[in-house]
Amino acid sequence: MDPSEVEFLAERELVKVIPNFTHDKIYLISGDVGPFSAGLPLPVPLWLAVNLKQRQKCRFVAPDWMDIDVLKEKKQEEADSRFFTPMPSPHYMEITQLLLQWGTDDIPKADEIRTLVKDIWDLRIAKLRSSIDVFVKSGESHAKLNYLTLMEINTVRLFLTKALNHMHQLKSVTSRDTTNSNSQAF
Amino acid sequence: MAANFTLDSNPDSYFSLDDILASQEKVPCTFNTQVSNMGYMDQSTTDTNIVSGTKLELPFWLAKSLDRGSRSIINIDTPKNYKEVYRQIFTADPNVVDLHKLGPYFYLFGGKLISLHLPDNDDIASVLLKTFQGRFRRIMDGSQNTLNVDLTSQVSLLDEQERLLFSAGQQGLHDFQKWETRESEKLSTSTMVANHRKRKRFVLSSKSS
Amino acid sequence: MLVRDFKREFYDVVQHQRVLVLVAFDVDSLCGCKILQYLFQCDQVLYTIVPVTDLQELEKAFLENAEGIKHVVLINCGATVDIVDLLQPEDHVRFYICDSHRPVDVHNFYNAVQVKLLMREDELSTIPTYDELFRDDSEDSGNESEDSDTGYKKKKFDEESIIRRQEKRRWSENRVKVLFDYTKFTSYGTSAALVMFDLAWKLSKDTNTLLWLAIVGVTDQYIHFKTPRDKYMEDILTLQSHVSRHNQRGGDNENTLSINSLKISFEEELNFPLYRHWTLMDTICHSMPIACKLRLWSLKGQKRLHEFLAEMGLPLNQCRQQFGAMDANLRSEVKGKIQEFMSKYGLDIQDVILPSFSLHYGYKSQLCATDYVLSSIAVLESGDKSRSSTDNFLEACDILQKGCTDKMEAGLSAAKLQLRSIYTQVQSFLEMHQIISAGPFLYVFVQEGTADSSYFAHPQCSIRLARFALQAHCAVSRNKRAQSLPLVLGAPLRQEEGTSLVVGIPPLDTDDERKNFFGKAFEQAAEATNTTAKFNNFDSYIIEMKSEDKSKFFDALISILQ
Repeated sequence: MDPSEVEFLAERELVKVIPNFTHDKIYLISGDVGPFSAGLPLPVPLWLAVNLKQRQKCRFVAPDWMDIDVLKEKKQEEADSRFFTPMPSPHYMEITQLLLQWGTDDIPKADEIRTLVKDIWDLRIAKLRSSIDVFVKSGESHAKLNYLTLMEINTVRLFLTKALNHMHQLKSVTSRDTTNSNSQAF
Repeated sequence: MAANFTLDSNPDSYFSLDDILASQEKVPCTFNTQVSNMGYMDQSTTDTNIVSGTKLELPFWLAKSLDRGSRSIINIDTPKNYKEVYRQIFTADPNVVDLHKLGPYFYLFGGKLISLHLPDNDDIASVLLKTFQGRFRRIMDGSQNTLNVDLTSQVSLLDEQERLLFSAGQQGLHDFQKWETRESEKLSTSTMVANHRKRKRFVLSSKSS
Repeated sequence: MLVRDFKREFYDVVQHQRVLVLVAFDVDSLCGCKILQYLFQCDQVLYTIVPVTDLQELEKAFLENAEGIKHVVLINCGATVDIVDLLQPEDHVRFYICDSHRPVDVHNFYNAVQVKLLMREDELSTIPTYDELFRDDSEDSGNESEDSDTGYKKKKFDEESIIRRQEKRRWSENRVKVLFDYTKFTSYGTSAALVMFDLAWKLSKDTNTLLWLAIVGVTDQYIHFKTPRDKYMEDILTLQSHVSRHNQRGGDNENTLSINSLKISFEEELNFPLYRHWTLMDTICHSMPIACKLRLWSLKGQKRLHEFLAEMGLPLNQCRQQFGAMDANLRSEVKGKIQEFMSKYGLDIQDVILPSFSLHYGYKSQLCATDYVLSSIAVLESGDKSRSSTDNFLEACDILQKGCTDKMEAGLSAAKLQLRSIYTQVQSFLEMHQIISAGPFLYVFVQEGTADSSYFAHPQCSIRLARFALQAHCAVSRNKRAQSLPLVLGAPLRQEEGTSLVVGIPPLDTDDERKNFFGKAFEQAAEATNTTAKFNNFDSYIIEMKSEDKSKFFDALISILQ
């Protein structure tokens, strides 16, 4: 799966925008959007928000979690916890990326937010790696991780599936061919 | 990509090149009986026959088919790299070993060895798994952390299958990096279309000539 | 007809329709086109953009693309010719002309149906009145002009008709005179980019990106000697108010703006080409006013330059470094030092300082408007024959796109090559004494087979070369009259066809007006000698002719200008 495909999925998330035009409800396959009235914030799918922004028809409203203090707290929580903590949005990385790309001027302190989100991402990826390592070393055949987001899973998907496959092969030759297995620790 | 994937993921496949290459690896064997007219296989003698007790290194696929349990014409010994001495090295620190040098198909060949029912089968099997588990972290970190750095020194220590793993990790990293720098949103010709066009042009030009 | 309300009479009309946009080959039109393109994208208007280099291509492009198109926008082309007469469009086609070329053809101005001019009203005040140009002859069913007198009426020799005829003749004479006065000089009005930006502003779709394009367009006009400094300053002032509107945020939340957004700031720039990306030494050598005043092409001139640098306390090895790599202390002092010592070397403030804007984006070094102009024109008029002009156009478009740093770098190095070749060419003109006085004007030819001659086959580059040559000549000439002489420059265009590009530029002492009389003069000279000169270019003072007709043509030109 490509990251851009993950982004595509993320574009269904709702974000708030302030339109500068007035328009009736739009009926879309994925659901109804609107009605738009100039100056009044309303939630729209991310893809629509980006499209409107590109055409100068709206301003983004930063999501509640896209705030320096909230993110700092989140980062601290993530750093303190041994496990993954729930993220404010299942697509936090993609939303940040898209909103900051097209609406740097609408999001206050955009640079700091970018850095913080990236920090959180790095923390989580590091955590993900060490837990994968523990998992592989333990030789277990399954593991459960809570609160991982799609994009995070996606970065290790190719690698992890291959590695587990490899492990499976090594294990299967062992179990298949050692009939008098007594030294098998795993 | 799809075709490639099945080959990589299933080294037991009949068509797997890796599998074929791995079964070429040599195994030390001792002949129990005399084999007539096969003396040319032993470069050290001029005899026409292989005499009983000759030690030869045979490719795995040959050794495997000659190995017939107790009435076998050959006795198979554990290859050097999988013997106790090396096993101890692997257990001590799997990360420093140059697996590529010890046989580019360390795991695959190791797996095949097990099917020969050598006396130290269990130890080989467990060492294979442990070696991989020990080296796993390093491969993962190496492949996921570095961008645009010369990795040859790191990759050169890896066994062929580990290399595939490594490049998969790199692929993931590159894809993500590309997305992050918004390069993935640029439209580019897909390889299929490009190839198709080339083929079309080729057909056209061959028709006209 | 002049459009007064751009939004209502132009933009709202073309929406939801397919629009054909024809764009001339210069940086200003490129910028104007990009602004319009952005607006169209915002409102999802279907458009086709076709870049055109000359009138012939304009015709071709129109024929090829006219099918099913009702609205044609012309950017920096078409105003000076009778566009309806030239293109013979169907009746429902409307032309919207946003062109900085002046004078505007009277037929375009008075065509109320098919031609709409997107221009500032005050710039068209010199146009002759309708009554001076067109007459409704009651007998003639409203046919427009003087030669509609047919045989029938000649028989009526009554007094009334004689009086009418006399009056008519007087009127026709007057018409010719008025028209001649009107078209005598060619000049330039407000840049197309700025006009387009005004439109964007009225649609409240103006962003920093568009503002920057408008700035680049205005700067292009100044750099290519199209607008006088007064007009430039006036435009800069207008732009500056936009700049401060867009780039000023309240003092306390100054830091909230992301580093990745465009920031434009007004600056008193050093008027050295590409100096942020070059060495100080090179950039001074290639700056026209300094090179001419210090006569840098001679040994003595180089010495003077060294003296100048020494006096400013700038070590030579520092000056030969990339400007960005210079000692930070020295670098920050350069501007002040130059201003301090310039008067001693006869330099004016206008020679070294250009009020302009610079752009900050990301962590890369800042770029100024002239950098953009020079690099995009260098790419637009690249001498590379293997690339089509459309390729060049697209490449130049990319340079103006924000974030295309690698394209920009390539453009900058192309611009350096172009500047170098202009400088070398001027140097060889002077060394070989190739600039010759023909009496009423000076002329000079770029020899065929010169290494860089492919550069000078393009209009904008040849204008710059001609200008540099004229200024350099005036700096060395002992002849006091040199200042008041115009210059004609010939450059080989297509050698296989034996054609040349001929450019005429006005004398230096009337520089403030930036008015060029060569358009009319060339036309008359060509008529008098029957040479097959092509008046294809959008600038009438640039023509194309067979190289072998040159001497004949110049003789005629001398007698006309005397």
